[in-house]
Amino acid sequence: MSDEEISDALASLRWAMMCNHYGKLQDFIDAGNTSFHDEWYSCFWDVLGFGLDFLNADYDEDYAVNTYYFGFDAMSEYYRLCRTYCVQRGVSLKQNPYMREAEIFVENAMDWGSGEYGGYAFWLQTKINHKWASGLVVKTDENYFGAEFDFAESILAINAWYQDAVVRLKADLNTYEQEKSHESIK
Amino acid sequence: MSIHMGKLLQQLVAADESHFEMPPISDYVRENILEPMRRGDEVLFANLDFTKFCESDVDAIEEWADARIRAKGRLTNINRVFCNADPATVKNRAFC
Repeated sequence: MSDEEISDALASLRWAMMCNHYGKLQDFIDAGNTSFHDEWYSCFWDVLGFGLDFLNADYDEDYAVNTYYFGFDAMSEYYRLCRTYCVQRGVSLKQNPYMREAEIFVENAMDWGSGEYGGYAFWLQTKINHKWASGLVVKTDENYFGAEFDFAESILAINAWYQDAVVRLKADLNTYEQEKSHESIK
Repeated sequence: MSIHMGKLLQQLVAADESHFEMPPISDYVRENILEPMRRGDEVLFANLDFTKFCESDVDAIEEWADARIRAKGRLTNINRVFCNADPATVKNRAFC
């Protein structure tokens, strides 16, 4: 390989390292990234392909705005469990600490540096009235440029966080239920 | 334009060669990533031990490769200058 080819091919190694960090290296390899290459954008779309469970992408030609809707099984389950938590503890969604915790995590995960990548915006959907009612909406405009790596890492991090959080929240709900049943026996 | 070959040679000899030595990477990265890449051998991600290197190793290889690319660009420019330079006529007769 020439120096130019080495420099370009290192990008695919960075993608592989990121996927390995989130336990997705085999998915990355199975997507066709077996060895070094310089196809940066194909890595981005490959990671989106296995890093989430639902994707809807739309482009508004009039305003040059891309809109992505990302759905995650773990996120959907998490927000269903948040409702269970509210019923169990008699609190509102606004008072539910799990709702706020998730919001803070996603805000941090989607913070790619102040203004470095131009125009993008995001927000969380936390409804549960249909399968993908919970999700992450991301909009990018013509000022957005070059954040694919951070973008994809955010998606992997968010999915991993909700998967862990579902386990924690379930354990919390079960513990509370058990304590409550013990109290009622006494 | 005139090119003083003696001075040019001195500068080339005195040039900092540190950019072109091997980058500061571990033996594992050199043997399993950089050297196979330079030879053009296929490096399978499945065969790499990702616990044995980190971002700084990749950064070091990239900086090293980019420095070599820049140096090659500068040498190409020098080559272009030589190729386009008109030969200077000597002021005195060389032979009687």
